Amino acid sequence: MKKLAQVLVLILIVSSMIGCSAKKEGKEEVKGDKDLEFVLITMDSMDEHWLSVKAGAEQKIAELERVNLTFRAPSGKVDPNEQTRMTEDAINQKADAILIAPSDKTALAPVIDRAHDAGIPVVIIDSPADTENYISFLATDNYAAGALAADTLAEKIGSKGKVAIVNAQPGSGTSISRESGFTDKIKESYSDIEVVSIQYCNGDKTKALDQATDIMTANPDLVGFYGCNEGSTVGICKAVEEAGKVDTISIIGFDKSSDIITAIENNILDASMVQSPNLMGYKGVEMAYNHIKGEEVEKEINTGVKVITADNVDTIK
Amino acid sequence: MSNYTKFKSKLTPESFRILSVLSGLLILMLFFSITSQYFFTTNNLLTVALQSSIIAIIAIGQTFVLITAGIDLAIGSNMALAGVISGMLMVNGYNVFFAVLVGILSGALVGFISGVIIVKGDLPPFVVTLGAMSIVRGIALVITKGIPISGLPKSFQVIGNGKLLHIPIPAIIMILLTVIFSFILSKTKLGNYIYASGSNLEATKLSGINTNKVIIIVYTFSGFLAACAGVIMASRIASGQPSAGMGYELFAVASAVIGGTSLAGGEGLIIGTLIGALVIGVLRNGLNLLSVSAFWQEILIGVVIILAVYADRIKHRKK
Repeated sequence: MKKLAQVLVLILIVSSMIGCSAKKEGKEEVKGDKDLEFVLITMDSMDEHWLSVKAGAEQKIAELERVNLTFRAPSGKVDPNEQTRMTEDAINQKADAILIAPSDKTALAPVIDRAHDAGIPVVIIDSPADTENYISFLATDNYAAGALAADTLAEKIGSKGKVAIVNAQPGSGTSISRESGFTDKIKESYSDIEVVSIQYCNGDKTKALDQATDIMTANPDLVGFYGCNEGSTVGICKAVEEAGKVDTISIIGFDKSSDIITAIENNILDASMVQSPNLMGYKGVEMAYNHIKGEEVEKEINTGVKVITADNVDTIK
Repeated sequence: MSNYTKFKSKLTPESFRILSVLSGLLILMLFFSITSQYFFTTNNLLTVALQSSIIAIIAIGQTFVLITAGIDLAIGSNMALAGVISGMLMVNGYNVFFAVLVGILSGALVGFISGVIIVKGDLPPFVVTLGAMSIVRGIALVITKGIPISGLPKSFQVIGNGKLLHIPIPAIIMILLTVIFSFILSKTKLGNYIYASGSNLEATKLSGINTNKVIIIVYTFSGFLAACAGVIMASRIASGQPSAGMGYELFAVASAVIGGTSLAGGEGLIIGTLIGALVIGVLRNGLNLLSVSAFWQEILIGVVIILAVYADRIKHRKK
């Protein structure tokens, strides 16, 4: 036991020496002689969307000198409690900035306030939180994107007929905005389009497949589907393909993945609303860094959405 | 009334239970046939069979485990692991048959190891399979780096989406597995030992039966069946998802208890579980056809689970 402790101490000393010598090579000094530690917390660690946010953040980190990034996310499903715990850990380890994508807008607000009180700047990514204590909020305007999806679908189906929605998590701010952006726009501009069913698949593709199949059975004259995230879109596409209704049903989806790109290339999916998660991560790190350097940063940033179709899918890949 | 009692006394308690679950299923089907013109059509009924197949298959395994008074919480994770392992082998150019076989064996192996830990470590199945649930999900995430495996070959997609004489292949697999495992449970010595281990473990042990072996076998069965379901799921959506099957172990428990399996062990029939899975499948499908809000569906399914078990309990008390 004693020997083990000695070895551990030795390893610690050596590694801290290596650390010190490595640090001396840094060019731009921001805060004393310590590296900046940024912590990025996303909603989960599996979805390609979050991996893309992470990749964007890492890209910006690589461009900066002496800034380190730690990535954390609940390992399974969306879990605000786990996110709260991770944020508390970041506060306790005195991170220099926290970038967080809150999976629940009310649940995460108190811990964001605690980070603010501890003097740690917080950048909010992707979904809002019910607090003013952040330096910058970078997100897709999901409500506007939902309205754009409604316009795109209306154009495909000649502005009339029955359509149905398969959404992701009931209660998530992003899901609500994408759904109400769509339904409000239909109500406002397209009186001949009827939304016959709204189901929630929680991102489970098999569940979305079953729901879309049942919706088609109940509504043989359905002309359009709107999928509010990657999982629901892929499930809908499979269902429509299985039912042999690719020619009669138009589908507008959300997000980008290899399955979605394949569906567009095979003309099953008409269009997908694609956010710029990469930009959220990249700009998020930039905003945190600029804030620490003492520069003014924009409080609200819309990172925008692109509509990908068979015509431009090659350029987006 | 006397006719009814005569009829009832001829039936064994098991067949009476099956009959009551079956009548519950038929009442549900009658209700949806009246309320939706689309429910009682060949196409929709085949769709229900297809939609119920995944839950039914995992529920067969869960029934075996529940009869021994255990529980398998690793089912959902096992489904994901089998899906991603088969998927990864396929996209790396391995033969589809080989890839599926390895995927299914991975589930059986997880079940086997869980069983060994339960009997050798004398640990509660709840704890061991809870641990396995987390470990196996972790393995599925680590080997895929969290990214779904897509681009699975067309020949693989036949398992989940193909049809044989107009019947969806997953439904055929479901029926085959029901027949095979029903036979094992009702007609073999192993089946007797499984019931005996669940009713009274100590007495069974004392009568010279190797109960350790029995317990290991039921968890291996459950892992095997979960992996079969996981492969079908991956095939249906042509993608191996490390996040697949989350929470499905509880649907398996629900199907089994609706079908008359006792959580206290010693009781349960595979055919009852199949009907239980169909009750959940019909309920979901029918409510979707009636455009009932997704939120109300959750409530109704919960009510049905509690009512089914309550009806069963009343019968027990009467005895």
